Order: sequence, then C-alpha cells, then structure tokens
Amino acid sequence: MEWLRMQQWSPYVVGIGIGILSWLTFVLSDKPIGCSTAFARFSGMIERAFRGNKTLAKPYFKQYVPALTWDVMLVIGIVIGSFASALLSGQFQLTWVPSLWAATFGSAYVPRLLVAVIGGVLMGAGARWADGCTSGHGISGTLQLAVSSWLAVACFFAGGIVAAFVIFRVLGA
Amino acid sequence: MLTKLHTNKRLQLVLGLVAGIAFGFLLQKGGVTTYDVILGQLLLTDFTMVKVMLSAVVTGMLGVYALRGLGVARLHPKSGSVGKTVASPYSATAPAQSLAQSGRVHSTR
Repeated sequence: MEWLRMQQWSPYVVGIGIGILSWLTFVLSDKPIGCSTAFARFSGMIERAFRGNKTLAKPYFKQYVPALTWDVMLVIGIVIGSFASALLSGQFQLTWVPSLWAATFGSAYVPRLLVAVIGGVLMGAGARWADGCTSGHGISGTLQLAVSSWLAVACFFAGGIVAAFVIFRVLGA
Repeated sequence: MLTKLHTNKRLQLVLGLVAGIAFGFLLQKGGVTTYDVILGQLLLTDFTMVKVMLSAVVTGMLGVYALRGLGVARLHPKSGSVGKTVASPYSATAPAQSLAQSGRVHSTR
C-alpha cells in the first residue's frame, strides 16, 4: 500500500480518478459532484441557530433546505478524505502563512488571515451567484458539456489570473 | 430503474460521504489542496490544477455520456446567463436567458 503514502500522484491519474468517481455519483446518486450548495445549506444552519425556524420560511432556504443532504455529506467527506491523505503522506501540518505568501508579503499572519477571509467571502458569493464552484461548474458542469459551465470556468480562470497577478506581481512586486 | 436507490435517503447520505472521502483523498494526492499549487496555476507557473481538471473532465465526459446512452444516468446541466455566469448577480433570476436549457440536454434520459 505504498502508493497511499506517496506525497503526490500524477495529476493525470488523479484527474482520471475524479472522472471515474463522477460516473459513480451520476449512476448511484443521480448527482454531479459539487460543493457550493453545501455551503449555502451550512449558512442556513447557522442562521437557523440564531433566528430559529423563521429561517426555513425564506424562499432561498426553501430551495436549499438547511439539512443534512448528499451534498453536505460530500463536503464533510472531502475534509475527512484530504485529511487522511495528508496524514498518510506525512504532509499534515497547521500553517498560518503559506510559503509563497510569506516570500512576497512576509510571515505576519494578520494580513494573510484578513486577505484569506475577504477572498473566501468573495469566492463564496461568486460561486452561489454563478450557481456553481470549481467543482460544480469547473468539473461536473464542463464534463456534461453545459454551456453555462464552460463560460463560468473561463471566467473563474480569467478573474483568478488577473487577481493573482495584481496581488503577487503588482502589489507584491 | 435506479429510483429506488436514489430515493433511499439514508443510503444516499452514506454514498455522499464515501464519494466525498474519495474526492478529498484524490484532491490532496493531486496537490490541488495546496495554496502554492493553486496560486502557481493562477500565476501560470504550475499547471497541475489544469492537468487534474481537464483529465477529470475528459474521463467524466466519456463515461457519463456513455452511461446516459445506456439509460442509467441523467444530465444535470445548470442554467446560466451572461449576467448570472459572467458578471452581475442581478439578472440571476431571468430564466429566459438560460443557456444550458436551451438545447436538448435537459431530456430526462
């Protein structure tokens, strides 16, 4: 079982694995792999903890009921699976500041944390507006040849590349 | 024919968890859970992320369309519009602009 302990697999092997996994989810669960819906449900669960059942009456949460569903379990599974993989390969560590960030902006963790939170909020809002994230549109949508998904993924990369260049090559230069 | 399986709620939760574990494991082994790899892609210095995504898309596409042909899988394309998918959220509710649903892809087979 040495392959389970490897630091990294060929990206092509991983991609083929994800492709085959999507065959299985389509057949066994009638669902494409996607993550952002679960985050909408999680936010509903948090809101419900404060506002009670009024939350459930919102049209948005009628459509995305804040409950334990297939997609929520998928996201929980992703955390478990990637944790197991990192643990097996001995890569697991808690890091505040990734090396690339530290090399450009220094190792202070407050600015890094601030930018990560702002980035996370923007990414979450964007994924919900577009009705999908890098997995829902980027992998599952494009493999179904959905026009919306190819358009979305082109925009993800265009936006991401511009933002990365502005942050690391302009601001960080 | 697989409706019984798809409506078994408890089993579906288990299947979702198992699929997630496999997906997370693969993502980590592919390196795409690493900050430097994602940023390397966006800075166009490390193409790991695109290699993973495109090989997943090609593999998935062949299988899912074959399974659809056999009548055991259905497509679930998402609707989109220029306003919704490209830039502003304000036209997100206009169903008439749906790109994905304009073709025949929405048939239930």
